[in-house]
Amino acid sequence: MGVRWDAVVERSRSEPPPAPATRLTLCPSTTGATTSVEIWLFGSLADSVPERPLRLQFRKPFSIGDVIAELGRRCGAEFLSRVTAPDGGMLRHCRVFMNGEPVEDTVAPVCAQEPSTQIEMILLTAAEGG
Amino acid sequence: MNDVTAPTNLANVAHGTGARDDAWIPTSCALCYGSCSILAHRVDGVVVKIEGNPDSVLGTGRQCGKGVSGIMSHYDPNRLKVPLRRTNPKKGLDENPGWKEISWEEALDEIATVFGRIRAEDPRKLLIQRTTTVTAGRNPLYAFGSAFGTPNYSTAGGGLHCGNGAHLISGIMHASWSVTPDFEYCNYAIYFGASKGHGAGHASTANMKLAADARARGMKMVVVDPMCNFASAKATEWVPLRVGTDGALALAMCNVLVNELGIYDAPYLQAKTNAPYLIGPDKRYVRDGATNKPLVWDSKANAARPYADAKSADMALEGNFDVNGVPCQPAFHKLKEHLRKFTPEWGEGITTVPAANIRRIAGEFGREARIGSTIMVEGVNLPYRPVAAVAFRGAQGHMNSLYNFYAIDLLNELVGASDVVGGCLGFNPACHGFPETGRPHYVPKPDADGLMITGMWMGYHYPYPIGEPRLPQNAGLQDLFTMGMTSPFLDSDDQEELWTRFELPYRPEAMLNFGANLLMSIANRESVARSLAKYKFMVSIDIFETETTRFADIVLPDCGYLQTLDSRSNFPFIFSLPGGMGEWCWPIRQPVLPPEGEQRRFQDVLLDLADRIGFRADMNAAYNASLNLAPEHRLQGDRRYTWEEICDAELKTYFGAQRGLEWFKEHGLIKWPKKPEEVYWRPFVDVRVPIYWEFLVPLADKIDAITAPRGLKIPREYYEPMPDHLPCVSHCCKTPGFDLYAFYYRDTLHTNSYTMENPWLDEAAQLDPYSYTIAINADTGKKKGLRDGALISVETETGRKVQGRVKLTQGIHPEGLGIGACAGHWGDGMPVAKGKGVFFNELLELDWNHVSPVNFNLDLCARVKVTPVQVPQ
Repeated sequence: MGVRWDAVVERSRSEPPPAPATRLTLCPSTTGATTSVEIWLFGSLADSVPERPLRLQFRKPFSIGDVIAELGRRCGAEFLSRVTAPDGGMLRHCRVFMNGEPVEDTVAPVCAQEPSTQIEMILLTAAEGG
Repeated sequence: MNDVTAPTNLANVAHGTGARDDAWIPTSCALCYGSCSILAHRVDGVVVKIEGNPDSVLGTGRQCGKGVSGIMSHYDPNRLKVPLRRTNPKKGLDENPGWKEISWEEALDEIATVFGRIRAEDPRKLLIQRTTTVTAGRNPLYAFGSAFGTPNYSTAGGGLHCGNGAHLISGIMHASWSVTPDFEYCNYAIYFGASKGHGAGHASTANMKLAADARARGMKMVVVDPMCNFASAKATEWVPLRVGTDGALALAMCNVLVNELGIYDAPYLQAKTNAPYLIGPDKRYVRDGATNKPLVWDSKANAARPYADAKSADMALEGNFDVNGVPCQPAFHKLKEHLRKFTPEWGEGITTVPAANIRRIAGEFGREARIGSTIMVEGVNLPYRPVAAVAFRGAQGHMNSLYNFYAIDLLNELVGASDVVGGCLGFNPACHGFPETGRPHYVPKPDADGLMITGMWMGYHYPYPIGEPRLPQNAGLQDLFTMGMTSPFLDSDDQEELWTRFELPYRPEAMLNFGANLLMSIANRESVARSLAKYKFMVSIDIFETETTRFADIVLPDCGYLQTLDSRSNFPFIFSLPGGMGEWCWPIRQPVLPPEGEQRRFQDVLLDLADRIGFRADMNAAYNASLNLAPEHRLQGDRRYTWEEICDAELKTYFGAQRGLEWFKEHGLIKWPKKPEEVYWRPFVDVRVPIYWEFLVPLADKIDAITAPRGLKIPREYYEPMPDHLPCVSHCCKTPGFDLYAFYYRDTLHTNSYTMENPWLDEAAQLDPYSYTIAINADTGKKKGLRDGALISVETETGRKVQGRVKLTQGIHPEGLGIGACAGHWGDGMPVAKGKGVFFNELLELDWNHVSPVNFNLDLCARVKVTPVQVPQ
């Protein structure tokens, strides 16, 4: 037997470099204070709310998952089914941006920007051929 | 010559400055979706020559015949130049639309009124459709659809014919849109119905050089195909087989490797696939109670452990185990047993390839894989497996699309020749970004089961993880059949029955069509025409009045590829940048000539419509998301950006503020070197690929739970976790006289139906003995009393017919009947194309019974009989 697959790579080169640093700030600790969040829903999600932006208060720190859950409470199960999978994770074609930075991790706490944080959500088209 | 520093703007052309206009302008071809880099020579406002751009990775100065002739497509006097409105309310194949010229204001006002009403009522009633030939259409139409709020988007015949299997499985197994041999290092490549490096499409001219160099170096090339055409003719060996049986051949070869020769890369299977995952009697993973991770059998610990907790080298690949009372075996054990029934003798019966040849080719492939070897590439020690099995349209264009491609790729997986030096490469699945910005950055990553999620995709319907089925909200039903990509049910005969059965809560009312001639590109024209006629309102943006355009209510004249702007003519890199070492290359497509008449660039038209309907903010948000614009370059609020500004924002996002659109207009492209860790990424990234598709089992249960109560049982044989040979409808035909398998093949002279109008390509096709004829095996033809040039009728069991002239040849399987390209235009809007060649798709049925129930690939073969046509004297 020749060289093993999991032994041919030098450890120092075994991980790809990280993606460009995001300026999205993660909050390590709780402060308990509330913060104002502007939520902008675009495309087919826009009809889910009566106005754009929707202004909500969240206790710091909060996660995008908290925001989606709150939107689900206000907009109903139909909204949730369009943006989340049955396991609760966000669907791949639902893109969320916080102050212009993409958010992939919906569980991690994010830091609000005073006086107001902007969150944008849009569903991109999910079908393609070639 | 070819001085790209010459002025590249349109000022001289559009307004005249008195100075002599003589410029070589770097841009991108669009005669096929390969988008090779070109230089357009413009003299006094006229393009007089098109050459390949030697500075670009996309062709390195080469062009194919189509690219050279692009000048004739541009200057075609039959181009659309003014907006048109239909006056005849009736729509049908024989209806004259009664075109009336209207102004852009009239056209856009009417479209905005109708689309605005639909958007307010239910945006899902709008279907957006585009051609795959023009890659520039992808992102603007995605953005428009997302902002409008419709999930209904289609590429007409694109995915149905070429990609629902090939792209899906390339995505699951190679994190890419397509696969190719690593030409620089590969020693033995098997092509199953593919033409990489020998035809049109993905990185076509770049791959031509790579393939030619590889053959000159000594790479052996075995082409499995019913027809000996573009790839086969240059191969070491042509292996003719019965149409649609490629998967059966691959399964027999896998069996030879594993069970007869014992050739497989155990360390690869342990470390990089789900081969060691334990499978229970229910065909599902046996999972850890605490973590829910799939279990493996740790031979060292002599116990079952979550896969992430055991060393790969200790994972058992074979054996019978008991985990908490559940009998189980590793997935590889299951696969090995499963493969036993696919003996070479069985394979011969299905494919007609002699069993001895199956054994020989499998042995050559397995031995040349050099399992266990490594090689240094730019100072990095890497696994070396110089063999590749690649497939594309031919192999996957059948009912059994999924298993055909899956079985072929198993050849690579078994010997560890997957995204390593010399092996089968995805097109650039990992990119660490332009050095100054780190963008674009994408790398495959694992899901909770350790299986690979692609790092980049052409759309947002990722091939894996598989979506959760639900009652459909998409008219194409892809959210119920969640492995389906492009859907046939937007046009099928039984669409209403299926929509009713699955309770689709609306019906499509309007279509926005960009360049797709779906009457020709999907299946028989009567079925598609019926579906088109149902739309209450149809808009077609096109450069010619195609057969499909004649069903539109409003026609908008688009700019051609020498008049338009696209900031990403070859991005994503998983689509059409050559794989292997070399350079990353990001070219643009820029205007060389101004619009003629009242032609307008479709990207501007979409922005205008968004303004008129009132969703510019949504459009900006959609561009921000789909182009991944950096925060400092994001489009703000509902500000009215021009298309140039959007392109500028994208280029600055990826290449820095100093390299915006103006920089790219001058230079045409940017390059930077690839790293071994990017090209041969698989050893560096901790992901596994499935050699056992466990996820199909619960998927079938979930779909069936929705469909069975509504009267449709899912054929479970298509959802088994290991591949099988499932015959096409044509294989089951027993009617006497229907003794040939009709298929079409991509003619290297043409792209889809579009280039048939090009007079230079038409002339070349007329000189070619095959482009416009019906190829039949010479011996078969003689037995039928046929001779070259005879006019014949080709008829299916259901009575669908086409006619054409016979070309007898030894270069086709005795049971095959080959028709070139997508020819046979009948409309007056493309007079050069009219009446040329044979319209193969007329033979294809378009309904549930002719569609893969798992990935929606259309069955692209038909059992036919041929009869001579008596020509009246």
